Amino acid sequence: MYLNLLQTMNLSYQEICQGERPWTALGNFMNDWYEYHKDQRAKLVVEPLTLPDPCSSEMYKWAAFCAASTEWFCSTYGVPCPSWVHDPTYTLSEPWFTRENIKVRQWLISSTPETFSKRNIFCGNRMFLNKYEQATSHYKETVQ
Amino acid sequence: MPTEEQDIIERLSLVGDELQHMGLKRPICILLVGGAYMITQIHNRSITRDVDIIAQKIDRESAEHRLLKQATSSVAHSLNASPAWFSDNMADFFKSIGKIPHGKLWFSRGKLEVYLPDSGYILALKLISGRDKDLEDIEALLQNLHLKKRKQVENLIKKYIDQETQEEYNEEIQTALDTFF
Repeated sequence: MYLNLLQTMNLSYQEICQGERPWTALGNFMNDWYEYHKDQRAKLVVEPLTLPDPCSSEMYKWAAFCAASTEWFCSTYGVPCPSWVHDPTYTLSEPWFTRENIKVRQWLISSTPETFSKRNIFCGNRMFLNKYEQATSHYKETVQ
Repeated sequence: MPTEEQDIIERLSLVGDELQHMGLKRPICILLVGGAYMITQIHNRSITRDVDIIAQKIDRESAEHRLLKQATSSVAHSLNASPAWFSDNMADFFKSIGKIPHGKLWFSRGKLEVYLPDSGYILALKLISGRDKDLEDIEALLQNLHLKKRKQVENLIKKYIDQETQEEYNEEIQTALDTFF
């Protein structure tokens, strides 16, 4: 919200490592990407993630998620993708299904974008729905 | 009261004061939804960047709505914050998918009255959206409302969301329900 703070992807990852709810930290990044600092998108993703030492398996999974997210945001919105996201470190050795209930597993597998699935992350396709684009889309539907 | 909750109330109070200074005759009524609702009413999390609302009884083209935007922009400027901190982006969509509850008065200041819907309404909106970021809120709302059976939740959706929208968003709703039941 505050204009003097850039909520970079690395800052969101650091917040996750410090115990913040992942979707609060990533939601803050999304607010900057879609609205508060949408004119500075390259700056929001250029900085590589700083992994904690030691890095727990949970923090490692979220690092991979942040790398996949960065590649997704850059490819979706035509922003140059920083090279750090392609580091093989950010590919998980075992599949991670972000929703545990087996009932949604097939949906996770079939709907996850490739930037995530190639890193062994299966999270579906509703991660980055946001009110800024949804509102625009609704407005367009209404006036057409 | 947690800092973030105080902060939300203080910011909304500044908006109420600003509307008063603008010489508004009748208060503007808003319904609190989204993260600010979760923080102040469900207390399951501590941080939100913005305050999502539905302005009641005024449409987007009205003079009152324009004054509301001016007031929130003025508060944003004084806090060095983005004008987007106060968001009614989804209000038209919410109005189009079902009847908006009037809610109960939470607090008033100056020429702003802030109302709260039932938490069931918030749950219905979050199930329609079905975003990953909503899942923890959905879980907290299910607990808050003591909803343990899928059928109970489906009935709640029927209460707040019109039939056409239920059909249009059936996949999203079913996937969200499958995540929990």
